[in-house]
Amino acid sequence: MKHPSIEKLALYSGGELAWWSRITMQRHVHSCAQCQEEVALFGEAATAVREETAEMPGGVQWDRLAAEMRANVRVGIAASEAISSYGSRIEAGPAQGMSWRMTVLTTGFVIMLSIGYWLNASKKSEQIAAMRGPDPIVAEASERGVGMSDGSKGMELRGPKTNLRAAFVAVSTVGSAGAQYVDEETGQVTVNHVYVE
Amino acid sequence: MFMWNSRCAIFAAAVTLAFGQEAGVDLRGGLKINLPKDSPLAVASLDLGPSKGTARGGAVMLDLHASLRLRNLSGKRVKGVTLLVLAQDVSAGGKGSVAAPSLDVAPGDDFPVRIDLRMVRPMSNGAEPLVQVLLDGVLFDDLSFFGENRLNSRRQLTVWELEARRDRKHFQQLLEARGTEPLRAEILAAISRQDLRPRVDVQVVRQGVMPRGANAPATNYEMEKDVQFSFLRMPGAPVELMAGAARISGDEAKAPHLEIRNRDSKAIRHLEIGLALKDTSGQEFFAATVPFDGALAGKGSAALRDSATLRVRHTGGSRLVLDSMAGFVNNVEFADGGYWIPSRADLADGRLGKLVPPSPEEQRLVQLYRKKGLQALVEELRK
Repeated sequence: MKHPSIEKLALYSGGELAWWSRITMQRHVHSCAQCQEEVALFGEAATAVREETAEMPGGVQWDRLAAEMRANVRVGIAASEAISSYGSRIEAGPAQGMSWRMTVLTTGFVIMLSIGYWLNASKKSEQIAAMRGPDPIVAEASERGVGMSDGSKGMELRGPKTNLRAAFVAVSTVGSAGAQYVDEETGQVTVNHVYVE
Repeated sequence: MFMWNSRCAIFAAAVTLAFGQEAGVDLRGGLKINLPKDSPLAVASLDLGPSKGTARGGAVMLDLHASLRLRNLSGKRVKGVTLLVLAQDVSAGGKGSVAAPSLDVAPGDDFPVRIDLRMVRPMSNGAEPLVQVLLDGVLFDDLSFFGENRLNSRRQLTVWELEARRDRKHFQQLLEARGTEPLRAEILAAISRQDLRPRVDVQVVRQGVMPRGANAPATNYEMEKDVQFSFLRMPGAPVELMAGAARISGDEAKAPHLEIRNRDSKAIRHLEIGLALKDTSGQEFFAATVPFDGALAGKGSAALRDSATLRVRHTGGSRLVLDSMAGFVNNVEFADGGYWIPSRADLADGRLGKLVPPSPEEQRLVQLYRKKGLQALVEELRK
């Protein structure tokens, strides 16, 4: 039996296939235990990711990471579209008399240009990052807890399970953040601080 | 659109596989509690409960819930403790602390301290513990202190203990002089002040630019203005605030600077100015402190300049726009080891009473009333 590719199974699991592909795939998956297992694994993994991302600690600059990721994806798509659109014009070429050598040469040139563009873009973003300097360490006091993060690493001291909501929060301009919690049962006060050095 | 969705799905599948490659981290040895040999406290028990560590790629995500019981081995009553929490690879040597103020632990007795820590750090070679807990300081009932004091715990624990004595005495005097109903009214007023306090989250960056907030406005430009401080004066304060200003822009306050004058003839070693911020809707809240460390001679003056940036937002994330600032003297440590804290009379001023945070002891007594009622509070005050 010929099995569909792993990418198609992933797309099917995520409900991303077009309706006609989905119907064909559904028919196959219903009759194939191996593919059923693959689809179930994809489903479990997706659920795990959703749960894990819901637990991600605060303070990490997800927005910036997401923006960088989106920018990289867009550059990649732009480059591939540039190549493919150029390629389609080249395909029309032989009708106007372009030789296969010329086609190969032009394609190679376009690929070199694209790589150059890509490398230059990476270098520029590195230069911008270098100009911006290292991310400052942010200390934060919130009802949930006190924490500090430089965008990639971080720690957070949370309130006790008996009372997750801080009674009072504040920061100090020397770079510390504090939160006070009162145990609902015993009344004992706990004061958590983080200090940036 | 279909192509884009397909790409997203393939990317999601890749991410799924990457996240799938995680493994539990053995937490035995992950937490080390180091008490000095001559420590007046000993670990009576340690329960790591539902703690878990997860390795993801080159990083470890640690969710630590340590329930620690410490035993007072000294011959004196323990009034407060500060534990230093170290995670060396996190945020360039940053550290945390967990303090338990307003205690009254007799010799030989145990008391609990909870450490609830969450962190992401690079994977280590396993030789060093993920988190180390050290004793930074213990304060006793005679205000003597034991500990390394790396976090200036001595000062903070002493201020908390002086505030505890002030508030306990205030409630005791009220009870003795006027009876239980005025005490109840005072406790209800304290509850009202705590419940009506605006709930805000605060961020601080010592130097550099505050990273852009998730709910920042679409444009980069926001009008920045210099705002002069107003001062909340306390008649008994040994320090006078002469002038002060900061730059305010949207939800940020930058580079506060203050001019202070010592009204007392005694030299000052340390003082703390409280900053209250008011937003454009008129809500005012205590958000930050500006410390001054250094010698301020008797009757002398000094200027405090700070490069920090503060950002404030409503708890829950909604944005606020700052409008003005006010400052007040929070506490003072004299060079001779004496302290000044605001009196209950100073705090009787309506605005100050709302802004100055309640002491840990007031919070403890209020919680006792909430949980067990007036009679339990009366018994506690008559101990």
